[in-house]
Amino acid sequence: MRVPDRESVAALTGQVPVRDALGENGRAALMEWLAAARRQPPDPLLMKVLAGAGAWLASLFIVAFTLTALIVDEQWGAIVSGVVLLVASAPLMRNEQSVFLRQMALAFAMAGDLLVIVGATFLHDGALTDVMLVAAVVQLVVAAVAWFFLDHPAFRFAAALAFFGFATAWLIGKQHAVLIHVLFAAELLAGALWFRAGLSRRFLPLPYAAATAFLVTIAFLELMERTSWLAQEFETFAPMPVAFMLVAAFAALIAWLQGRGQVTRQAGVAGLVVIGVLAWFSTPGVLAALLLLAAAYALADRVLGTGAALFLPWFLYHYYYAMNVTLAQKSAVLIASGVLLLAGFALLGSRGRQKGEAST
Amino acid sequence: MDIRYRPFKDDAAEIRALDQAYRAGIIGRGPLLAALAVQRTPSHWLNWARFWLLVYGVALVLAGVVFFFAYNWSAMHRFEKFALIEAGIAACILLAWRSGWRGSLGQAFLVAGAVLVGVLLAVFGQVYQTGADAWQLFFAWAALIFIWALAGNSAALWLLWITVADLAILLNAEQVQSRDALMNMLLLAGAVPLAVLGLREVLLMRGGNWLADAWLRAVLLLAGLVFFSIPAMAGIVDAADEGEPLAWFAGWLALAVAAFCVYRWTFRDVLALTLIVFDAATILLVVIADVLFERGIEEAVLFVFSMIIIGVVGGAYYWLRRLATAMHHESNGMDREVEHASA
Repeated sequence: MRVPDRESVAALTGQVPVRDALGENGRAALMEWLAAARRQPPDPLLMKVLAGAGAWLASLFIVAFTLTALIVDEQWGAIVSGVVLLVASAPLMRNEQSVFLRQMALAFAMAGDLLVIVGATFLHDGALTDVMLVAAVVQLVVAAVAWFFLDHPAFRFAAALAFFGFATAWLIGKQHAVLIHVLFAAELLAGALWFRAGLSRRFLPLPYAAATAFLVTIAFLELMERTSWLAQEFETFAPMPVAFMLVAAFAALIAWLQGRGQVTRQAGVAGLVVIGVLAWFSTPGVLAALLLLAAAYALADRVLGTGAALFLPWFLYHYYYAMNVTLAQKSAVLIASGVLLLAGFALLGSRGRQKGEAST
Repeated sequence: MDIRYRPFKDDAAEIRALDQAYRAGIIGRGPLLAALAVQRTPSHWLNWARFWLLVYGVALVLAGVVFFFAYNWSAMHRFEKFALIEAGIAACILLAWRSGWRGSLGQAFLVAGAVLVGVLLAVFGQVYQTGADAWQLFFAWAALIFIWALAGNSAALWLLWITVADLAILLNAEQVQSRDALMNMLLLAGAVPLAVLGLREVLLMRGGNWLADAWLRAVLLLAGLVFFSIPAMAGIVDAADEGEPLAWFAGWLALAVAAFCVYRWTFRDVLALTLIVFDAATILLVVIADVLFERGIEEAVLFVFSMIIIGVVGGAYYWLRRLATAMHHESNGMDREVEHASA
């Protein structure tokens, strides 16, 4: 991060909306933090991601050690070991100064979580889908409890993502169309947390995990048995329910932007019309990619932006193998979607030129 | 106020600072959202929308065309196939010329045309059943679009060319070469992005701006490091068994040291140094794992190795952090010298 100079930050934070949101104490704390950052710049995100990956790798070996050192039949041993590791990681994680201790704490926490899940699922003799349900419930409890005393964004993200993953796997196994869409709605609502001014940084990993789970599930939606009861009812190509949810999410985002004066009413309505038309005939993956891109720009979030940019090609790869729609239909959907977007580009270009001519 | 949209370049440093301060718990989220409301005007959103409507529109149309050919493969006459693809290529070139080669629209059309060249070759190979291996298709594709990449001066086009060239090398390695040659082919695959990166950096040092996008450095360096690391690790693991030359390891070491020196003292790029250091940490862990697990997997060794992973990764992180601080102070010192000189 390039640390900006004091004057430019003062100019921005001096503007009324920002000044009111910060308050005098907040402004002073910010300036003090920036002064410290000029001496010691914050660590780049890539460093933190790679360090987190290293801790995750170490956690796998800790888990392997624990399972082989204990008698493997002792599932309760795995659960107890997991809880011990989770509790032991808490005081280590509070040490902000030692990188080694925080890494070890993260590895212990991830290993502990994994051991608890492994122990709980081995205890349950049942079908795989029921095992997934047990894993989801146990993971929810572990994540909810550990969330408040393990202060590490990588752990919180992994714990939340694991819950969403187990829940999705259970619902897919049960082929429960309605509940899958309830889960989609929950994930979209979790994403709405990003836009709350009062969101504590403690809960910031939750919308990232929800967005990741949502995108992965969307990519495989076409591979699952078709969950659109509209299509089954009318035996025609019809939009999936998740498309309506995405339109609603877009509408909420546009309303939020309009409320803050970032988008004009006219532009917002035009954008919503385009999204609505896309929702009718296009695949939800295209809508999800656009929604994520828009959210990333609205929040100036580069992680989100990178994920959004990478999602579309990845989705198209999986879309190619969707079994319940022919390649001809998929081709028509994609070309029509692309043409609609290019028409939007041409329209915006001409309106931009009209505004330029009017202003001169 | 600059309202142009450029991916990952449009955020003011002040916004990034507020974001970091929020994540560090110094301020709440409200000030960050308020600052974004002040900085993101309707004009910014207009430019953002135009950019992504263009990129996604082109990408979806291209994908649809590929899907279309996949579907109609058996039903179409061969001349229909060739005519459609060649018309598409011609249209892309014409539209790129009309839009201007250097503009974002022109470059988008060039990329689209370059992709269609690959589609044409694939169709040609299928129709005439030439018996060519897949690597030969990619090789021809890379050869044909090389001039486009040179003329287009587009990071996306160069990335496409590098990807296609590397795929040709890797497929050749898989389909034709022996195992020893496979590792050498990986080095060749790594040399392609590194050659482009090296040329870019030399021109940058001399004041040029060829492929100046910052993200391209990270992508090309990562590709080069990965391709050089795999033979290095294979050389370490197999060295005791078959007397494999340590040349692969030496090649990686030379690359890592050279890249470290360049990005530490010439460009002062923390991101590039992060990639190099963590790549070195990975290879170190492979060496240690090879030694520790030589006699099989033992319980205590699993725990010891997990602690070693934490130590190596933590050590790399700690060292990088100190390096970043030192480079930051050096940059600040240089900025003050420039200010004094200009004053």
